[in-house]
Amino acid sequence: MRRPLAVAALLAIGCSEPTPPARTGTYGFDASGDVFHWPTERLPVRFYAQPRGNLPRLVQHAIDNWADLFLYGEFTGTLVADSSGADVIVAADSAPDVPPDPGAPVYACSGATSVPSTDAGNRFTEPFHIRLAILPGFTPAQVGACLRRTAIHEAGHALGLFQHSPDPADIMWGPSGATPITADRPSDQDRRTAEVLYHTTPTLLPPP
Amino acid sequence: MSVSGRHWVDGWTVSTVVTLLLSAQPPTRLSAQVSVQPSIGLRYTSTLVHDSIVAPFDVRPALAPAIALTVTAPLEQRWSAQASLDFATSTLERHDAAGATTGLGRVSTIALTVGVRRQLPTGLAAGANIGGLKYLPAQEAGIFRTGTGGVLAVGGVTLSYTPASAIAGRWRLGVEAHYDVHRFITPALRTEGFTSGRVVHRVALMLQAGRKVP
Repeated sequence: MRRPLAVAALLAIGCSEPTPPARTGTYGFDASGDVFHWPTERLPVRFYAQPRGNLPRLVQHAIDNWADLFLYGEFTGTLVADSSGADVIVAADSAPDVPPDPGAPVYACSGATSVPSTDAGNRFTEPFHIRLAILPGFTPAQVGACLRRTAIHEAGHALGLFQHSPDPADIMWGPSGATPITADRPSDQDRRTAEVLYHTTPTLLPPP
Repeated sequence: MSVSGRHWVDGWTVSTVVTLLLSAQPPTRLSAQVSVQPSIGLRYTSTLVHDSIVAPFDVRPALAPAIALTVTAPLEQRWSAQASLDFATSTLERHDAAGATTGLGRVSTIALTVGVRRQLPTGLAAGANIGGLKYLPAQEAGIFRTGTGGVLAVGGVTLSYTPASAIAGRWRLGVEAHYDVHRFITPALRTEGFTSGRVVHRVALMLQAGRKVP
């Protein structure tokens, strides 16, 4: 009686192999059909943050938020002190070094990522450039909270997420004057989209 | 949200441990003569995670150096009881379908098992053991970003060979093949959508030295 029980116990652990989860619910990430993500051999991606106010910490926060999403080492980033060897250069008018406002998100800043041009071999010719700007009429804490979210959003573009999400709950939501970015970190849909991007064969190559 | 590792230990582990211990039917009288067997070898571990994002890929540790220390106490006739502490360390790797391999950092395992062993003819011995296994990642990142999930139940069998002539001083030398199995899942994998652990097989080939402790 005991031996069959032992055999049954051993067999039980051999059954029901897990099925990979379905990653449904993503948004577009390509630029007119072109796909880019940082290849494994170029990791960690080197970010340079202009030494102005809280900007280096904001950029590090953005890098950590994206790197922490991935399960399988698809993306890692690091902050470098020299812009000459950087893959992504981040600049800002100012970045108040104050605790971010915990209240409702407001459109207190803006951001833009310049995707570089490509050469004949579909390789980017220079680093990505991110520019953060503050808008007038807001407290430093409101600006700080906005820059925190916007830095993650713009870093997402530099990762290769070239489109905006149509869902305001996502960090890659395309902000408008009426609805700023409200997510404090990448959402599940942002994560799934970034995962699919980093497992899609790219058509564009990183800068030399 | 419950921690998966604790769930395993509290539920499946306890019932399996009890079942296997009962089925082993070891003799009950302990002897005072105890022996220790340090061993060193290599361990192969099967896939920890099989996932598919656009294309399928596997995550598993590279071939790992392993060391173990086993303490054996003879029971009646050819039976003995044994406890073993086992450590292995290697690089976790992602193997893509296209053939690319990406290192994901160092991961080690430590396992504490107890079991029984029976002496067979011509220097052979076979054993069975059960216990707990813990993953020790170098960094809390990736599949271990929110922890390892606790102690996982592990069960295994061993087959060892100790030639009568392989003696070096007070040590008896031998080789041991070790197979064990456990289920692997982490909190991060659960968050990702995996609902159950994957069965992981490990095979080790060890060189062993044993001596009696007075």
